[in-house]
Amino acid sequence: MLKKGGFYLLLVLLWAAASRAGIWESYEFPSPGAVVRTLWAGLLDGSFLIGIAVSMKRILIGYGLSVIAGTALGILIGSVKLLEETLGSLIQGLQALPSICWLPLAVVWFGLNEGAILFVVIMGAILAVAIATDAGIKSVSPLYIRAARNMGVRGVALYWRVILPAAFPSIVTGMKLGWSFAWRALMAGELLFVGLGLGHLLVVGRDLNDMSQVVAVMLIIITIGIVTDRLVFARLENHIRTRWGLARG
Amino acid sequence: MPSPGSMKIVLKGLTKRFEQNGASLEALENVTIEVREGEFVCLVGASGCGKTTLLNLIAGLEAPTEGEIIVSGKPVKGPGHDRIMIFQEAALFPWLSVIGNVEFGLRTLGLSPRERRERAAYYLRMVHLSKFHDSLIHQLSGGMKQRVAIARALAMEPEVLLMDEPFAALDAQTRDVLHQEMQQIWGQTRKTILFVTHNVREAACLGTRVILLSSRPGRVLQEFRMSYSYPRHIEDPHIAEAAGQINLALKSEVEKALTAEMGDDWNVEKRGVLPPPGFTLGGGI
Repeated sequence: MLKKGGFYLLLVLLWAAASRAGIWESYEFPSPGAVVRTLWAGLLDGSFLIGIAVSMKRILIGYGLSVIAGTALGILIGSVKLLEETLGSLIQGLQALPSICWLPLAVVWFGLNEGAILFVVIMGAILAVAIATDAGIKSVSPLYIRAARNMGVRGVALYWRVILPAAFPSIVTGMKLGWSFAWRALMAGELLFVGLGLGHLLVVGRDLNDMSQVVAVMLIIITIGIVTDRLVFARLENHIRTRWGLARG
Repeated sequence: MPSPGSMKIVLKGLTKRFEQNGASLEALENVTIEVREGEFVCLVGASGCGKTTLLNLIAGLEAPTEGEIIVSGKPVKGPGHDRIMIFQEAALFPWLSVIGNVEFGLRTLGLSPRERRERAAYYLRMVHLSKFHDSLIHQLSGGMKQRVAIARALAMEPEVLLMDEPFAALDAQTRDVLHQEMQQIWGQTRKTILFVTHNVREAACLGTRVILLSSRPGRVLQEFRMSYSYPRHIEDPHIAEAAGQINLALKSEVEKALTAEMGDDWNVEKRGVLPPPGFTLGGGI
């Protein structure tokens, strides 16, 4: 903890020294102080808060939909042999395409609006969730299924009570990956086309030649990423580790 | 000790073939076994004699190629909670607590949450694990896991318990304790039990009857009636003697299986694997 703190303190000091050295103009290379002032002002006048709210709304809707649809898709692929050979290979292939590449098509299909950005966010996460769910279902111990069927559990209940819980650790891995894909896709989308949101604030900063705003928004984006990871995924993974008795690898 | 009652399990001319890469593999051939209510029947055989397949068929998890299975007078058409299986690995669900596992099957019986909890707690007491009510599965030892699995099976209140080498993965001391516990549970619940094992001593110690199966395809070879009184202990000389007899009959079967597996590399005279020709252990120096 001390080492970490020391490292970041040193980093800020170097940053301050570099900005003081006057190699670049102050608007090109903002000082730590300027960034903090911009951050504070942006939060106070609400412009950053609106940006955060808009981006969070988009990611929550888009990501939420992709987790539900991705899990369903993964279950289908994992359970139906025909779908696995057809749809499964398509999904594996599409995974190679960064989801922001869907933006031109999405803009044509949905217009320059929320629909387009949601589509890009969903395409970012859904494949990762589907692939992980599929893998999780395939690795469920057949013994669990035999035991459950033996006790009269079948059909939807078999999925809900045995197969999905057994595949859960794998699904969470996919959800975590999907989140980072979705978050990146959203930022790229906002940067390129769609108004408001944090990505848009970066564009505004550039247009005004105000790099302290750009850096301040970057800090916000990093913070949201870290906080989500700590609050949501670290907790989920921790819960799984204690339940399943898996030691941290 | 429950007195033998009416016929509980009737297996008539049971044959099971698996299709594997075009080849047909016969696991069971014309197996006919009758088990009376309250009997504790142990099935013994060398590995690959189709013991597990037999239990799967009775549990309704697989369908026989030929023959008939009748449990409690009704033909078996699929899984049913009158026949509950206990596996070699406990097959407990790690995402549920101990009590959650014991309760697991009870929802399919249409019990209220309170009835489920009470019944699960009752059977958890029967296997002496009340203290571990809320423990997680990975915190339990192998023997405790198997006892939870037994409680989970008993909680379904099945008429027949199908046990598939349930103690094979446990150490000898734990196994001893579970043998005692199994005898108590059987005396207390009067279940009809079909117990598969490759451990002859275990079969002689637990069963009212021991049925010897041949190696692939599994056929009924011989039956041994165990009339010693319960509780029995595996170290008891009577048990050892009975086990000796069964062993003798089993040995020729094991040899047959090994000859089939290794061909001429298995030598019946020497009871060992033949060294390759020219293998001299350095004697030519």
